[in-house]
Amino acid sequence: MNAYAILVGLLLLAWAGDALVKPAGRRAFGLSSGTEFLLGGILLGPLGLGTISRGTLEALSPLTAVGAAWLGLLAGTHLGFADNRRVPLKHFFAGLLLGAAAFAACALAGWALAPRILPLDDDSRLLLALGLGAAGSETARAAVVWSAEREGPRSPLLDLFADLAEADDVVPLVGLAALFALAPRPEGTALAGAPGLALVLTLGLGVCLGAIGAALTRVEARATERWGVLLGTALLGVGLSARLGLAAPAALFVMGLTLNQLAEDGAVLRQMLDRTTRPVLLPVVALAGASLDLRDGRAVWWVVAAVPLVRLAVKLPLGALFRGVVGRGVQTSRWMGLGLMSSGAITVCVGITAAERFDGPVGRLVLAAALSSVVVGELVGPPALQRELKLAGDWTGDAPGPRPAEEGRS
Amino acid sequence: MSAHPTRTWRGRAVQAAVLLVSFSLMYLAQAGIPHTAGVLDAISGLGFLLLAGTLLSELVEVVGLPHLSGYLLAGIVAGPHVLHLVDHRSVQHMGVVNALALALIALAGGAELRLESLKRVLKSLAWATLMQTVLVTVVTGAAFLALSPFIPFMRALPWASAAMVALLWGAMATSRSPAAVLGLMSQLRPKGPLTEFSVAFVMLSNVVVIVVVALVVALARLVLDPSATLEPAAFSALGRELLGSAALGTTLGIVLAVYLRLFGGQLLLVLLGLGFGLSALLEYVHLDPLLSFMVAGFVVQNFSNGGEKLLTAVEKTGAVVFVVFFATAGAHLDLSLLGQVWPITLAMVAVRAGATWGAARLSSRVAKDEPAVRRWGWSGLVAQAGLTFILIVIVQRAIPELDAGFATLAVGVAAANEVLGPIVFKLGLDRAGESGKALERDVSEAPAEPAKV
Repeated sequence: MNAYAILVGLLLLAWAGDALVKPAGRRAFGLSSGTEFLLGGILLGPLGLGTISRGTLEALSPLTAVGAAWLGLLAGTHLGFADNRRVPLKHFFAGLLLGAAAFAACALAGWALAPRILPLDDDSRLLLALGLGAAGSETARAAVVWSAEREGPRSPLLDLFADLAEADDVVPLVGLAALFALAPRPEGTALAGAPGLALVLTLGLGVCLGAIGAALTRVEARATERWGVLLGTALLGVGLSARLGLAAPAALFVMGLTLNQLAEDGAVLRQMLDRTTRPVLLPVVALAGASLDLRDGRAVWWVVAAVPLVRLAVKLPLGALFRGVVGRGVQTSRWMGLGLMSSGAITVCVGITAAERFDGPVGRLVLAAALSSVVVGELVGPPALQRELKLAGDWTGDAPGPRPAEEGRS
Repeated sequence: MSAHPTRTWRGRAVQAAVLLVSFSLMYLAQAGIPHTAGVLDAISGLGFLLLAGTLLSELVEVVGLPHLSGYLLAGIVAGPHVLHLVDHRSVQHMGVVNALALALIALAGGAELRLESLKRVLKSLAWATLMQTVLVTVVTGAAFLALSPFIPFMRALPWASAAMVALLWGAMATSRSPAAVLGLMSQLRPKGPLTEFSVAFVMLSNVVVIVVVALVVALARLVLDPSATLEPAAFSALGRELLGSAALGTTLGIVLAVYLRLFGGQLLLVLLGLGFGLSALLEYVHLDPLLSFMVAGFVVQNFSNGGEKLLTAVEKTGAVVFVVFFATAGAHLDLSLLGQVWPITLAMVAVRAGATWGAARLSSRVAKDEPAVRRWGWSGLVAQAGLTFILIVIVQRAIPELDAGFATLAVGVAAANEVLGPIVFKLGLDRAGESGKALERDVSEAPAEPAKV
């Protein structure tokens, strides 16, 4: 199918993503992580009906790169903030611990599994391990927002889940930055054999772009001009990252973080940028689904099964540990960790970015692992969360009361 | 009231510093790493042009230049002919975004044409169209012919062929730039007779110039190519293109009006989809996107109550659309080429401006225009941009016998007009006292702020 037709289709998806979000301030349709769009992508992609061919995906890859990087930017502006309130330090470190533990466990599993499923050299084995770690370490806020929108007012339990989710985005994106930094580069090209420098450059570029955005938004209050500045800075970041072989979502994540810290009105900027979440996320999710490639046979099924299982193995005990953080008087179960299984925007972003960067099995397997995390997270996360809310008495199953309109961040 | 933060010295200093940092970043990336990332190079180029264009537009305001000059300057300086921060291929890749920008500009242009204001300026429009088309074509064509001893590719031509090429030159000189007029409107928010006249004239002249150039091309082919015959099929194809574009534009306008009535939300995404999708489709079926989108905007404005909503939505994209359009145009400008043909370019720019001024004075006198239009009506008609470049390509394709020097010179003159035009129109709007009037009206009509308790 013609790339223009697909582009219009993606814009239609973006439209749907925005339009179906908020009748009277509530999301009314669809699944929390947009898994239906992911499955739609697989159905229309080369593995399904073939409406979206590999050639078309290649033609749209710059668009995918921009979309994925934009998701990184949005995550950066939200790091440490949930619903415009600062995440308490205790919750922040708990989130970091959760992300780091999931990352380490998935990476180790990948390292151990790699020689058994694929003939990979040591470098590729390391890259695969890092990629699987990054793909398995996010806890998405989608299910939390979803439940909050459907079940009504905020509760300490929902706040904890939201806080953990907002704190751990840094882990997969640092993992992605490391993955790109360690990727082999031809001898004599920029940053060849200097992964440390590549990491520093990712950080430096993000800080520089964030500082540019913050300085300009401090002296520019007009919304249309602010859009020009933010879009220009972000696109510049994506292009420069590509030229330097850096992970654009990671650079833009740092940009978002810097912007949020240095801007005079971070809350206003966050609100402005939040409106783009669903319109950007859903097309990226659909393209990620269409990009799924099963040519590595048995190896794909191994990682598809292993990553969610390892996540479960990490999140169940940590969830039980975090029961103490919720506060006394809030009843929770030992299965609370199941509510932390949701994966979303950042996982998709990691998967699609790795698939675009690494042509071989590493990219394909990381994408497959990311998508399986999202699907399994969607099946397990929201029901578990609802059960915990019922147990805590935060949800009675009645019609929800009024709640301030909230954008569908995932 | 405190000064707008961008217009304080601190604001300007921050913008200048950030501009310097952005240029340095791009320069370092360019010097350190060759262009290897394909389309992603174009993305960094696009981002850089957006950023640098926005900043330069604010900085040139200090010396009274319009924002469009800043956008153009950013493109010229960063483009492949000066600092080479954005290379040729990237500029070509940006064509897709440019097509979108052009679609949105045409849509906004059509939506600016209100029936009641068209009725008001109908007489002025009719006279101005007649005078501008005839006088500008004849005067610039005659000047081109008179200067032919100094134009290398004209020297060798027999008289009849030289006269035909001169006529073609004259016809192309009647093309204007809706983008420049609308870009300035987006910045200055003017209101008044001059604004009303300029928008209406420039949008309608699009159609006229397409017809005139098609007619002259058919005639020129007869003279320049001995084997050519007058083909009525060419005219019926033109008729089909114009009518088809208008019909499709009407349908699109109705669809947009229905959408605005039933849903209304997510208009930006709808416009993006229409801009990308329909531009490609229209090109495929050989219809004119500019005319189609203009008609669509016109239909929404005049036959539904969604016109203002549509205009507001397009205006919201203005900060991005106009920067992309003009900065890319600036990046296209080949300064070395201008350097080769500058004496003739300068002469032709002066002749065209003079002819436009004379024709405007004459038509204003006959139509008994208001003083602002009589005095400054010509100022909005100097700029040339996208349409002129498209016409140059069309003419080149239609008459391959035409020397490449013709296109070189035409691009040079259009480029000079692209730079000068917005400055002249801003001067006209400022002197006519229309700049900022729409903004004043918006403020005075806004509901009073409730008293604070």
